[in-house]
Amino acid sequence: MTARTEAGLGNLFGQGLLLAGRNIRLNSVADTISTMVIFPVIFVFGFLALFGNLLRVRGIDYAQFLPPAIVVQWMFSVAITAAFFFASDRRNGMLARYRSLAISRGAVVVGRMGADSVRALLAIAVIIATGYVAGFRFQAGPLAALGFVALSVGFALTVSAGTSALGLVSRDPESVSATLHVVYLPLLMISSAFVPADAFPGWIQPFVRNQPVTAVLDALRALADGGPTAGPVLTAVLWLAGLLAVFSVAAVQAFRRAT
Amino acid sequence: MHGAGVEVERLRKVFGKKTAVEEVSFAVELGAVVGLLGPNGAGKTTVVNCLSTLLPMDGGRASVAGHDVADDPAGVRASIALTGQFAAVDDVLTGRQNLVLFGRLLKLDRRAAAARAEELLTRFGLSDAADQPVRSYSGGMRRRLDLAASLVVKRPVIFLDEPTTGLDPAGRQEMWEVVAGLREEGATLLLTTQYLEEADRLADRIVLVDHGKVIAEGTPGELKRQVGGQVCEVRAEPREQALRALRERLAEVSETGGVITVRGADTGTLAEVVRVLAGAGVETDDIRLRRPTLDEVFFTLTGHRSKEEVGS
Amino acid sequence: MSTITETGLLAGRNLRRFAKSPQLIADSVMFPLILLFLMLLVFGELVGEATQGDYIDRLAPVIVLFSAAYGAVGTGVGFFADLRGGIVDRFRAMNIGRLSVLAGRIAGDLVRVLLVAAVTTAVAYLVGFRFTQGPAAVLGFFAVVVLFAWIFLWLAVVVAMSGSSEQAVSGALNTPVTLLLFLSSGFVPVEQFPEWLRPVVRANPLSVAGDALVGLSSGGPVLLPVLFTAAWAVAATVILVPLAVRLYK
Repeated sequence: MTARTEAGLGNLFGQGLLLAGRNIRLNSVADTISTMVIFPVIFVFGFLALFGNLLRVRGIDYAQFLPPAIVVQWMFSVAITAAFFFASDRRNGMLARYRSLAISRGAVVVGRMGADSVRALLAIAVIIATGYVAGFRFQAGPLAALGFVALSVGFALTVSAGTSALGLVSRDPESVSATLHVVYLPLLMISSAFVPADAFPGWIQPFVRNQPVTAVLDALRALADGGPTAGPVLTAVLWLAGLLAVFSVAAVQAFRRAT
Repeated sequence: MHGAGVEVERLRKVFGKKTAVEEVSFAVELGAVVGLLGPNGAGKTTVVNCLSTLLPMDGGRASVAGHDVADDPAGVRASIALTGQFAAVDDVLTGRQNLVLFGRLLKLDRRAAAARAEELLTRFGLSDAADQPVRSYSGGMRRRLDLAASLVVKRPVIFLDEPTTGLDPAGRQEMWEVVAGLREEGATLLLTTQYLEEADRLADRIVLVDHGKVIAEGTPGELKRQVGGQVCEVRAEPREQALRALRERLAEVSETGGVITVRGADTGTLAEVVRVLAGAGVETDDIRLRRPTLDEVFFTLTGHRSKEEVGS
Repeated sequence: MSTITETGLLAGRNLRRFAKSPQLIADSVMFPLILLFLMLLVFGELVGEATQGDYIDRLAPVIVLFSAAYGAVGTGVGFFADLRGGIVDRFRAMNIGRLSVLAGRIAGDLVRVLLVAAVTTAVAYLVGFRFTQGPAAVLGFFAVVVLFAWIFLWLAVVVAMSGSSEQAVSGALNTPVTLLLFLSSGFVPVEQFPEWLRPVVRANPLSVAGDALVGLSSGGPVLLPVLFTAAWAVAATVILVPLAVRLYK
């Protein structure tokens, strides 16, 4: 009787899918449209309007340069949402309830990853479509474009593992997401997201060039623009693998202790 | 299932430097309702969290429906229904959607999950609100839905952690009726509460916990006897004079709200009180013997008042 | 009790709640400062090259306005929570002047905006921001900040009273504020925008107030931008204040 609902891959994915559906339904339609559609569009056109001319002087086509940055920004936002929902699930006892049910131990995690992936894909689609209107093009063929999407979702899930660990030790969703905003903003801005590394003051350029967000952005741009892709993609994948290893250990620990 | 729904032996749980549960042992027989009664911070919820496999134990052993909590947590989870301290249901979903989700998670097919949801909604008086989002529910309705969610699949043992904390009197009354219904059906139930009245009303046996230890155990009647004999209540004028006279001759004399109480009394005491008062020239308005209330038991055993007394 | 006393008391309550919440303080003070340094770091060199000026002269005023506008989102959400939590109903039942509750909210938040503006300019001073137009201009600087905040605070109060949920309120305020921020001459000069967008950028209250603040701190045209800001504030008063009072009933 116990084997029927708790063990096995069938349960893991079946129950994970149900919980993913539940997680997605927790976001109201209006909220999803505003955070996942309207805001990315505002950001793409807003940054273009603001900095497009400034960077043209430097010989950069900002419509091609910017969309990967907005994608990375929204992957962070997906991960912060994950932390927010874990913390509120913990505060209102949902997490304890799921953990006390005879369901697969990993189903809650699969459910979270499923919902995060859906949100990530939605944001990527909206941003790429908006970018397309502004002049963004995948120039390295469909396979590279798929790689672009896969790397973006992989980045979202990796960061999500880290933010979830934080969400799981807290019972205060608002303060978790406020804290995470303060952490993510510098990481994103002091990277090659909005301007190339050489536009930064010299003293901070080593950091800009060697931090993981830049690694992921360089790989995304290589996949979008063409040119040599193997090197940047390998660097990005190694970063993500390393971070994922650390983050998932932390997240699993936090999950086991969360009541 | 060795005749026992729940068996707990010397359970111990420590959080860092804080000992939440020092040593707790008790048992819940199949078909019995046991109330784990104690003030806030006594360790009740920690005990329930250990028994429902949410927290690992730091000492002792426990089994639920014949499954060892440490060795066979999956077996335990397949035998329990847990209703936690918070109404753990999703606000934006409807009552029905919540119940169907739990049914589907536990491998009921679509139709069975829908049928079971309907049955529980009717039984817990939630049919009218079934398709409203839970956000619009009253506190009492949320708790009943929460309980229903834990009963979607029938389980031999039910844990109810503070089912009425934070509810208004009407909500509490409704919840009591629901729990009384489960009891009549022969459910094996472990209930934690900080309300004496609740334990008195719902539980066959009470385990009194304070500071992570069991300080008394028995049926409500047995616990009341533990205070020792009966209580003699006297109304007399002038009160001060009566009090002084009684205190000279008898132990455990106290006064609240114009009533003088003598504990540890028997029929002999009654005669003694009458004699003392007559000797002191005090006029007795009323005198009677009664059994102690659980409040008095609680106070005697823990040295502090129960929640209701503190609140009023 | 007079309306003024009541307003003062209620404004005091709001300020005390602010002072006692480290979270709120961190959000409303730390966030603008982080943004100030980040923008300076990321865009300082680029904008400096393009305009032959110091980016901080333009950036610091914008960040002050930005924090005032985003502070209004907090005002909206806080007022919504008060409405839902029943404390506003209690004030109503206590027969406090109808305007006092609204005025207390606005007055308390204006003081908060001024405090945040003072801290932001003080920190900006460390990285090269200067008031070069004399003490009267400094006063004018903060007066323009108040005028600007006035517009957004009333907007926030109106939105809070018409919103259905906390998310709806913060969404309805965040979207226009973010849009205005992007379409302003705050971060880059008007000339950097595509031609067809420039009229929108020029009319944006954030742009006119930003120009006024730049004029009053490091020098430049003052009169026209201040008049435009005042026009926005008057428009907000005429439209939003009666609306807020009506909704409050």
